[in-house]
Amino acid sequence: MSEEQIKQLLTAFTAAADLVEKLAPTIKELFEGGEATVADQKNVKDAMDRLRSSDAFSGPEWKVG
Amino acid sequence: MRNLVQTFTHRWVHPWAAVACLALVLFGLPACKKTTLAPGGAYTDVTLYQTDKTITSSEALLHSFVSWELQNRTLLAQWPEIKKVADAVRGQAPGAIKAAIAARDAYANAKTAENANTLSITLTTLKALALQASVSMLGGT
Repeated sequence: MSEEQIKQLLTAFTAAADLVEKLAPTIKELFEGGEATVADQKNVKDAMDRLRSSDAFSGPEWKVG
Repeated sequence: MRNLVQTFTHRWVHPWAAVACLALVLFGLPACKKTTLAPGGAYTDVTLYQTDKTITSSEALLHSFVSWELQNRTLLAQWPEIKKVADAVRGQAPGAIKAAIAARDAYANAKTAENANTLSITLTTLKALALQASVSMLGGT
């Protein structure tokens, strides 16, 4: 494997790590519990409304193969 | 290259902590504090709030995973297990999310033990997919 390929792989996995890291606050909140503020509740409701109203699985990323 | 590897290693460890927390959440270790709802918000039922949060968070994670796999497919070809997991997620996630939403709505309309049980089962399926995607993204397939 060339150095360039290694760099590309590291970039790909760093991007993956970033994605999971981005979700860490949500995970932390789920685990720790506590009070869901009015803003928290609005964010969850808005996300749920978006999920219901959109065709969330129509993009090319959802195509098998 | 050494700096790159050090950066990578540094970033590698931290997200694993997130995955570990995710695993703890998904598979039912008790929360340190119970979730409560601030008055005046969009929810009056904490179970529905937590359910919606689980559904939307899981969908976000699964969407991130399949997008990442597609964008990096050529590079990731040497780990065929990642594509295998991604295709499994592609095959199962839409149905799992729709089932969770349907079970959520049924529970919201009638809070029976049967509906609560169905909701629990559908959320467990969704959480398992999300956990599988998280682990796969971090090279743990």
